[in-house]
Amino acid sequence: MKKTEKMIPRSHAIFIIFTLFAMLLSSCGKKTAEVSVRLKWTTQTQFAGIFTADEQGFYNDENLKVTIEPVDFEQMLSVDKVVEGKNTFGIGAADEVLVARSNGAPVRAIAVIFRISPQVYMSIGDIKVSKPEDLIGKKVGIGQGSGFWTFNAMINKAGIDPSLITVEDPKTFDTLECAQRYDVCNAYSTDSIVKANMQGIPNSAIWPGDYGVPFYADVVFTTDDFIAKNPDVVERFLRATIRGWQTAVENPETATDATIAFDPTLERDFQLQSLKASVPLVDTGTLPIGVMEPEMWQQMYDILLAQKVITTPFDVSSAYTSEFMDKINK
Amino acid sequence: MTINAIPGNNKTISNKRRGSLSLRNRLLITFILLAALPVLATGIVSGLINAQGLRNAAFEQLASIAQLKKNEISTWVSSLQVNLDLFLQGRDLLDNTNNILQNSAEADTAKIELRNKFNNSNKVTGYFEELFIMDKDGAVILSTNSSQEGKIFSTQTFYRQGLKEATVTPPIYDVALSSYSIIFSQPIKNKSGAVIGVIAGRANLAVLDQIMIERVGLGETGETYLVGSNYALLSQLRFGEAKIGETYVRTNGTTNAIKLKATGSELYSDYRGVPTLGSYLWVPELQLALMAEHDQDEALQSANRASAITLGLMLLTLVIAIVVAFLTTRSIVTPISQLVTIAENITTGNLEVNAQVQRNDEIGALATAFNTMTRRLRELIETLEQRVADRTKALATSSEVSRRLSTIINQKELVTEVVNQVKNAFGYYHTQIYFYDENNDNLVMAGGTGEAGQMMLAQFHKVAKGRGLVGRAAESNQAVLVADTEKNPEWLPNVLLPDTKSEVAIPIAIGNKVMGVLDVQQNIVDGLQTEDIDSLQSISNQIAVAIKNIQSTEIVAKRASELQTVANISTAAATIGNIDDMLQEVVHLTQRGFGLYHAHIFTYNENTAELEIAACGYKEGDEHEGTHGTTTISLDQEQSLVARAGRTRQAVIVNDVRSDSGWLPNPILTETASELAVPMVVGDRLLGVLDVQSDRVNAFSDEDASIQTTLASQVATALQNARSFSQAQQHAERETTVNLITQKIQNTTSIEAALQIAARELGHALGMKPTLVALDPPALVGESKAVVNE
Repeated sequence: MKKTEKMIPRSHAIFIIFTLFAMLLSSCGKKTAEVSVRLKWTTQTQFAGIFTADEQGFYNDENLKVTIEPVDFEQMLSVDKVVEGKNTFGIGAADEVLVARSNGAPVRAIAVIFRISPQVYMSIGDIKVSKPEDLIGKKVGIGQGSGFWTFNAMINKAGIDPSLITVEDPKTFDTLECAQRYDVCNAYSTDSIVKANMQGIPNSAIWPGDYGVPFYADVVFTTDDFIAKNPDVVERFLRATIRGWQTAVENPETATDATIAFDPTLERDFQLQSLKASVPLVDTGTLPIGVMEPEMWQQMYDILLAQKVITTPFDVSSAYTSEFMDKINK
Repeated sequence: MTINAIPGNNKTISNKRRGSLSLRNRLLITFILLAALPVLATGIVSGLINAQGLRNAAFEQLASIAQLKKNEISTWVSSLQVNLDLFLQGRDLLDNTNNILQNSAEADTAKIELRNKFNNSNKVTGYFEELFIMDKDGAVILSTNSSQEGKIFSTQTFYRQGLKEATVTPPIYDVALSSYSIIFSQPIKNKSGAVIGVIAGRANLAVLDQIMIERVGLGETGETYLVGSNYALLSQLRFGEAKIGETYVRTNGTTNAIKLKATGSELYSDYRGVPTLGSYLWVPELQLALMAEHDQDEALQSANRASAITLGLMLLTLVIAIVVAFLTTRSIVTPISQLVTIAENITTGNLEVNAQVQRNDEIGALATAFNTMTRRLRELIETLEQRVADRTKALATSSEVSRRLSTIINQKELVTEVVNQVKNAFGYYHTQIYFYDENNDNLVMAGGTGEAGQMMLAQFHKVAKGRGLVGRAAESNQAVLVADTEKNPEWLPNVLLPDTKSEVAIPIAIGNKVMGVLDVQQNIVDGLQTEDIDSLQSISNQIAVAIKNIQSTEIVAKRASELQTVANISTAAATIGNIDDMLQEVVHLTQRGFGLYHAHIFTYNENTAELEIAACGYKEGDEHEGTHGTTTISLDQEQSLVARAGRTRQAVIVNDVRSDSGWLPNPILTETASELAVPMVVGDRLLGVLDVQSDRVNAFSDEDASIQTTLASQVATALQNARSFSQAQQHAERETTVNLITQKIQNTTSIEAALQIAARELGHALGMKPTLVALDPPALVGESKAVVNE
């Protein structure tokens, strides 16, 4: 009878085989994907949707293990990190994607987070600015980068002679400090205006988007290769991220807490106010969060080309794909 | 004396009681259920129907309010579109726009004119917060809000769509204005139909707010509000610190409205988490959801009130039902419980308890019955005690009688003992015993108590079969009881027993054979009852057995005596040589020894074939004793038992001679009642017949026949022996005589002398006086000579 004891009964064998097969199938279908996302900047509520998605388990729901990495000041552009394969996904400015694409980097935006760019030209105190014409005769502090060519593009659109405006590099990231030295400074509404408001400093700002230079700010992007090889992972990541952002705009407090969970040194009140200021830029009511418009991409491309930020023309539609947002909103 | 309940039974009952619901609880439950179930069923059903109806009504009310507001919104949208259209209808708009676009000299004037026109219109209608005109690049060339001029909306839908057709945007957030806007736009076409710009109006959302705030029909907690397709709140909320532009409302209602773009009503938790009845409508032209909500508590207030009233009525009915059920149950169970307590008292032997009869109903009747039962039980137990004592005494008496009877072997003594014992033990007035006489015709008194008994005994008191109590008991073999003699016409009074008031006669019998009667009399009415019969019957049975035993003993003794008689007779027969004497002695001894009326022996004469009387045994003192007459009976004679016995060589019994046709009466033996004839036979030879007679009927049994046959056989043998001896003696004497005569003759010397001697001696020997002896032939003697002896 020993022989019988060693043998596995047929029914058991079938069960074991079936179980193994089922496990194999499930591991094929729900294989946990390990991805990373490189943020455009340090941990803050600018990326509240991502932190919320992580904290609320939305990534987990999509069987994703997501590593969230803030900016690497050694290699500041998230586009570079993703292109080099150091990160799967990146959060970066739309213009950065366009420039990189123009330079031949195979990166592609898959969703827009900040539909309206928080980049503004701000002044504090008695100086009131609301339209480009208000800049005439003013001393404006703008560093290099998007703030600079956006400014130029806006002035250009408004038909203002650039020589009537003094533009200097304030050599500082601190807008409020800049604003004390300059009439107008390049600023982020979600940062500087919030800080000014919190400190009770009267302020005003020109929104370039209102004057013909509308730009997407943060977009989610990855490489063409990754999209081609892992469309499912891309879709899952994006679905969870958008869900995180929907949660964040509707529940800023929760999202702030989720962000602070990643960096407890953050000042909660500011982060919350910043997020609240971000909400109208993310969720404008026109389109669902994340959905991109070809017209916007075209316009951004045109501006960048006109401003010679992009010198090599390319098919702008290669810089983004709405494939995944369409699937998510289906 | 107390009677205890059987513990086992008691336990079983109490166990059962513990295991099941008490009567009180069952009644209570039944009454309550009977009252409560219909009430509950009706209440619940009507409550549910009511609540459902009121809920539906509340939903319908919400839906109609929502629909009304949607209609208002539609009207508002149409109005704004019409208003915008009206501007386009005016010729000045196109002209002024052209002037502005061409930046002509009249551009400033045109701006002023248009601004005035727009502002005037807005003042009247209040439709728009801002009216503005964009050029073909989306730049605002004119606005009622001058700070807006110069803005470029080239990427905005209201511009892009507005170039093509009349457009209304969904609410979109304007960062610079920090508010949501709904923007109406239409293309401005020149005379040739080419689009030269877009006129747009930023709607005054206060109107929408106003529409939403209007709360007619929504009670205290109802409200309507708008939510964008992104779940952002677009109008004011009544509760909480909602802020348009920041607050999102994601409830089941908004989700269904936005995701399904549908119209519907349902119950869900509102933005505060309060259960609410919600009705939602999708407003497609503005891509927003119109929510009409009413707190469930208030909306269903009437339904709840109705339910509460129903519930209250149900509870009230229930309480009344319970009270009534309780009272009714108590009125039923309490008296029963009291009766149970009484019953339990009774089981413990307390019969002194009485149930209170307070009512006239069944319970009262039960209590009365209970009391009657208790009383009867009490009486029963009291009489039972007496009866048990009596019974015990009866059993003791019976036992004593039995014990005594077993030691008594004399019937008379037994009877005397029994009657006295029974009378004394039971305290009867009189006790007597009767036995059947030999002919089973009469019941003869065998013994009785007291003087009356003695006197009756002396008088040979007897009762005819079937007569009176005693006769009936004997005849029927059944006890006959007369509890009150005066009331029984068949009862026969006895002057010797004047005080008899009740009497019972018990047959003394073994099986169906009745031997006699035990008669008991009491001097009080009902002094004898059925219970007495049992014990008396027991005693009577024992008497019967004892009598039977005595009789058996007597029979055995009689047989032994008879066999002794046979032996004596045989001895006598054997020792008496003279046949006649012997036979006489045999009949004498037979008559005496067997106590017979008569005994006689016939000897059989083979020569005549007749039976000749040889000896008669009469009763002592009979005048005929010692004689036997000369009767002969032919063996052939039919009408003779003796002849028949001789013929058949068999014993013949006739136990009632008068009824036997073959019986021959003897005039001397007048009292003969039964007769037994047995043949005296030796070998095959019939020597005679022994005939015995009794003055009693049925005196002879087969056993008697057997004994008499034995006796006859002995006598026959003795007779044979006697006859043989007699013959042998005669023969020897004859030989001796012959020898003597011969000698004498031989001693003679002459013929004469010889003849003389011969004649004398022969005559003498033969007993004949004249004897003639003659010689012949003469030749021998010469001449014949004759000698005569006289």
